[in-house]
Amino acid sequence: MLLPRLLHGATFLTYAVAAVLYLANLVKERKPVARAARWTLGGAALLHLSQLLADWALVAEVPFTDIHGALSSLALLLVVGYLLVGLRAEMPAAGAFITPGVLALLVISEFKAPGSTLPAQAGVIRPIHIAMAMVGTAAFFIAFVVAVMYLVLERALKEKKFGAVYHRFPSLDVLDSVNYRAIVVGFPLLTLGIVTGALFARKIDASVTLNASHLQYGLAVLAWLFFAVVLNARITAGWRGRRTALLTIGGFASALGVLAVYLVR
Amino acid sequence: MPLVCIGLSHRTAPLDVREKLTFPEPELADTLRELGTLPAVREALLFSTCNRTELYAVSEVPEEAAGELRNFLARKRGAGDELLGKVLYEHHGEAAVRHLFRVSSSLDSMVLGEPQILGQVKSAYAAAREAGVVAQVLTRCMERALSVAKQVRTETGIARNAVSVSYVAVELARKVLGDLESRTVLLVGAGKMGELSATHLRQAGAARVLVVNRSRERAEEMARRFDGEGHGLERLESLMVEADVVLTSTASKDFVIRPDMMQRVIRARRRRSLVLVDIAVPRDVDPRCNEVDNVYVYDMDDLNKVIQANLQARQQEAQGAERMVAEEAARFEQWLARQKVVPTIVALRERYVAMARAEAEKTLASLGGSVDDKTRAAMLRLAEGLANKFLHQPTAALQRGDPDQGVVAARMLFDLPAAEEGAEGDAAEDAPRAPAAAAAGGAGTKGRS
Repeated sequence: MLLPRLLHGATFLTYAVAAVLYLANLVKERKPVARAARWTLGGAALLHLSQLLADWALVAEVPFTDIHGALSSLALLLVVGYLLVGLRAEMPAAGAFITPGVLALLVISEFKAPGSTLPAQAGVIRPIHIAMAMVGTAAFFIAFVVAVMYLVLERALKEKKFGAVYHRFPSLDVLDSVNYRAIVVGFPLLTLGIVTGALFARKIDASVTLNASHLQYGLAVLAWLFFAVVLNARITAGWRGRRTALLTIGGFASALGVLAVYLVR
Repeated sequence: MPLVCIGLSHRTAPLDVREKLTFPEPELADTLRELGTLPAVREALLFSTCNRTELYAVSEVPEEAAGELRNFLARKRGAGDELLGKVLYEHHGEAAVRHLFRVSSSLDSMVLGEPQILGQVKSAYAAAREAGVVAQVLTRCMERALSVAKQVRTETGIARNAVSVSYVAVELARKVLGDLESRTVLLVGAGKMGELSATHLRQAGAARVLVVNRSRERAEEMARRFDGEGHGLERLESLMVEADVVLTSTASKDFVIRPDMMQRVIRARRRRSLVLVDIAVPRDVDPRCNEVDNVYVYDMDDLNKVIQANLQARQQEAQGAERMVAEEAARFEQWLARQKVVPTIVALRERYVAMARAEAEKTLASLGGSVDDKTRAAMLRLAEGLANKFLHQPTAALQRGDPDQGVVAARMLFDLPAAEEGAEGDAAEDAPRAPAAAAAGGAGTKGRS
């Protein structure tokens, strides 16, 4: 059990270093620091992946099918997604918000013992449902972060405040297009997640988790509606910018609600 | 041989004085050659830009050289002692090197971090080289100056943000629209500032420039300069639907662009973001337009606010740059100090290698004709090799330690003749990394005359 423990520690520590570097770069922009942050984050992601694989080997079960593993996988997906976005549009400022989010997810996952909470009867649908939900949530997480950044930068630009936000954040256009792309990725996954979730909920013993399931289902559909409105308004009426950013935040909050119910029930 | 600098800049002299003491391009070559003939000057360099005139010299007698440079400037430009006393500054040794590095890195510029100075420094260096007044010391010094200037530009944010109205317009457009490629710029009015900003936007990648003006002919005339289209003012609203950046600089006393018009435009353009930069005074754009979603309006005051913020950011970055410059200047001084020991090392080598060879020859002669060529060559190599091995330690010590003490000690211990006046210059040519050897020789001979 020593190796996984060591990997857990090393992963967390490397993420923490990356977070410090991203924050330092936000305070005082320096190219070498931003570069170091990106490489550290990449290294942390590799450690994280090996940790999940080691867990898998030990438990002999798909690691993300319990709430502990699911949160940890979500954190990794978030990092991978952010690094992938960075290939097209480098946004070191976003790293300063993503990495603390990752650390928070890992801390919460530590409070949930492996193997807990999720009923096992659903068979093959369960891992599919969770995988869809996790990738989708990671995409919405990124959409959420850039939406918040959009609102903050837009406010600075409208109010003519030319400080750190003005200097460090990427352009509104970049933030808006990353937001759109992230939603385009997340939306079909959310749709499938809801469908598989419905099948999954039917299979398990409804009497135990009926209320929680209903709440989750409602929240998931609410999130779906938010994002559906974003996409539809964008395509048909050219909505962009502040309005889509606000809707994104609403959608992400609902999606997060689904996850939160898993945590408390 | 230390570096000396005398000069004046925007920090010490007003424009009317700077104008008087400048050296225009066509005179540069002759002036440099003349500088090179001054008795105390071994190498010379001359910067003459609209913000500064500076004369640099490498000299064994820096105080004298400084006096000669000052007299040269007074004679050439007919400036009195009183005036020069007020505006001239003088730097010696490491301070002069640091000053040269600061100037090259744009730390001494009127607008901190401005990019032109590097080109001016390069061409001053090229002119001095062409005039044959640059040798080992200034070559090395200029190499380091250009390298530290590049390091400052790339590793600090000293030149990152825009500090002129026309560039700030580009920066603001980029902050909203991101990449400016395939974007359309609309110029309203025919002001000079608007034209300059449009030029920068075009350079930043903007694909299309539209011009509207009260007079259609003037609009078309200006549009031709950008390969664009000119229109009358009545097309303003419809063209704003196509544009991404609108630059206004009309002489109109009333607002030309109003919120109701803005509402219609933003709906027609399906809420694509629009940046309006209003450089007219009185303003052309009603400030309430800024309240419309996805519309960003900036007037002269806002642009000046950005400039102030950016200058402040540059000031902060300058601290790191000053450190880089100081470190590099100290390194250069160390290198320069090491050059003092070069003639001693050369003399040491020459003497001991010659001695070793002589001993080997003696031994070979005593062996008579029985030695073949191969053995002979091997013996000589052995002798030279031993001499070099024995000299390795003292050479290293000379290069490491205090150069003045080292030279005295080495000459005493190894019984070398005292250094001659010109020996240093000649020996410097033997040292590695000595380009422009001909120029060095020229400077050396002249120094003795």
